[in-house]
Amino acid sequence: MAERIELTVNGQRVSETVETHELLLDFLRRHLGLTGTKEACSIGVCGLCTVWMDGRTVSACLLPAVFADGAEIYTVEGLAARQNQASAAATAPDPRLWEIVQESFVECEGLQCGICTPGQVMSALSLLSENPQPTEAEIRHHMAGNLCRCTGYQSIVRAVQRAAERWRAEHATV
Amino acid sequence: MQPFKLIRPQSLHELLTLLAEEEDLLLWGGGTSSTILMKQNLLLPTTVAALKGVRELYGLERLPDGTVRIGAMTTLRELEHAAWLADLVPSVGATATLVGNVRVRNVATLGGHLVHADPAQDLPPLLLVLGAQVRLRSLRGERVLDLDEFFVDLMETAIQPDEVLVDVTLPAAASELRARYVKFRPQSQEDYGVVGVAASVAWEADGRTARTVKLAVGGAGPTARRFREAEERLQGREWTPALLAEVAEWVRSQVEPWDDARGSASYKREMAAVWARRVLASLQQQAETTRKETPA
Repeated sequence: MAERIELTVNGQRVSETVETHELLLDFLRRHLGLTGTKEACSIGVCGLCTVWMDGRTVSACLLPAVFADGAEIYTVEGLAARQNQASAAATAPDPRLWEIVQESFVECEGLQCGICTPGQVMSALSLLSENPQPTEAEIRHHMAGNLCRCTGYQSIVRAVQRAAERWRAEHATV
Repeated sequence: MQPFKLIRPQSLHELLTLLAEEEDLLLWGGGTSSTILMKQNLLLPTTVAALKGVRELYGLERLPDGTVRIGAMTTLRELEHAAWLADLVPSVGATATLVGNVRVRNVATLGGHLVHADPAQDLPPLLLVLGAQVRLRSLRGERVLDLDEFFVDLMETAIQPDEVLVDVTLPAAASELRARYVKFRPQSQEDYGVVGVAASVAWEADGRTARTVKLAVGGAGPTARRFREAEERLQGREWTPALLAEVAEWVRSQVEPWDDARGSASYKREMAAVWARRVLASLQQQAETTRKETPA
């Protein structure tokens, strides 16, 4: 059964017809060509399909797109659009924090094969948006829902710590 | 997944009317469990009602009589983050944070968590020992059930096809209990526990004798459930290592686990006993620390 949905994805208004059982994950990848959001476990465990929705992260594999009607979504492709966005909802991610998170993953080599990285970045962004000064335990607890088979997690934890340090340093000088 | 018709009721009355009229109606809260069950073809709804617009199902508040009211649509993350709840009944948020991962907790609702009735879920044992009740509504009226009566069997509850779970309440007395839930999880953070054990206790003024005790185990049988005989053995007594061992042995003999990927039945029985003893010992330890900090 088809339903019309209207939502914002990476700052763009989108109006499309979807089947009720079509997942947000497939909508993003197939309708919109946003293939940065990956699929692996399909049961909300691995974190590859982590996207930002109305100020919090969700698993796009556990959400039929019809339930995202009216939502504001950001995917890993959205940083440039977010930086150029004239205005956004209060629940949109901070573009500077997002940039720092991505740079810190590069600097700390918080990735190897890279398939989990889009989800790791979105999760780190949500953690630091909520809690700009997390302890290592808080980082590990929050990021536990994003699996990585390459890094052994140490460099991912360091990347999040580094992003938090940089974000704090910028705010200390303002 | 198969296609479904989507309905968006905007009031409780509209929802109750739908429940009375529609057969095979699936109520949609956060959808984290429903989507998985639909992908597995364990749920094949023809019609889905989104609960997002039903404001009567929301709210997380302390009522004037001290009761804590948790609307069915309250997310597990809201339970984690409510500072006043953490002051009043800290075990609720501490347990909610153990469920799945952040993305799941961001959308998963307490109502969905309970009606799913998966015996390995984390909040049921805790809510059982806090004396929680659930309020069910239908066009026929309202029923309030103790959570003990709500869980009937594996993924089966006392809820009738025309009813909706409106809210969960914790009695005012829950804030006077010391309660804790522990989850034995041998692999990653993501796994459901092999077993989960919750206990609550109200100590006598001496801080040593247990006035009331509740003990519940999840993951070791078709439903999370209390073990009343174990509770009775602990009540009105000072807890010695021998008594805790005796209670743990009783739990081992009474749980009804089965073999699955999380462990063999005998292993789960063993772990239920071990973790029952540990959660009780940790509450006793906590009481001892409190006694030392605040000498009479």
